Amino acid sequence: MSLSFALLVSGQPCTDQASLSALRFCKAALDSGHSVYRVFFFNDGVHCASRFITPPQDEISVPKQWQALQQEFAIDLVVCVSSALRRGIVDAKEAERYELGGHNMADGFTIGGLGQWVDACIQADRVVRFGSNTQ
Amino acid sequence: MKFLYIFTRSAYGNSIAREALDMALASAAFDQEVSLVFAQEAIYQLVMQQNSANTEKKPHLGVINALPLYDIDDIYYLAEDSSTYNLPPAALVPQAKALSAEQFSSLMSSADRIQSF
Repeated sequence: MSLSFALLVSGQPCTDQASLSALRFCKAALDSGHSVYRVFFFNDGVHCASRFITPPQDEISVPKQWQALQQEFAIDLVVCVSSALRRGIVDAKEAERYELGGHNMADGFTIGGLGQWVDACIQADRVVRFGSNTQ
Repeated sequence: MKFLYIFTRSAYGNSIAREALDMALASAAFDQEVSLVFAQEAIYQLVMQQNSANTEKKPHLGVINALPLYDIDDIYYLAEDSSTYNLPPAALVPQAKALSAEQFSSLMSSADRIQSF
């Protein structure tokens, strides 16, 4: 049976293993013939969309891995606008609106509202959250 | 669709309390049936006498009191937490109701989507 998944990523990429677990879950689901309706980055998870994240060369770049997955499978990567603005993750449009003089959201991600997460919860067969409650 | 949100964090210590509550409001705004359970430390979110001035955060009670405006009337805390945290019903907002462990379990069984924050 093939299922569609809605994934919520609420852990930030450097401190929390959650975003890497989400990536691996996403890959495994797609490789097994399931689909991913949407990945929604929420709370500290929005940092996964920063193209300024620059780990040492022998370490994994979470944003680049999401981008690669997005390019391969055309999955919908949506960054929660209210979580993102609070944490300084902005795309070109928001940068212009708030006159920020620069933007840092990586290609492949789009900014969206919580309504898109609610929609994903309704449409997908399964909802899975990645992010620890203990931070 | 029945959305159940289970909160476990207090109001001001971590941003997730407020942001997850916003998610619940969004679910209600999209015409979903929303129930909220303020479990464990989240019971502090329901305390009537809150003063957030020293935290430099917006008062959490504003959102809590706005819940009925979003047609969110199923607002619960666990009876067990009420005694554990020594917060009797009179100390909590009147729109919140106590749930026994058994009622909590049947609420979870009846939900289509459960998310905990």
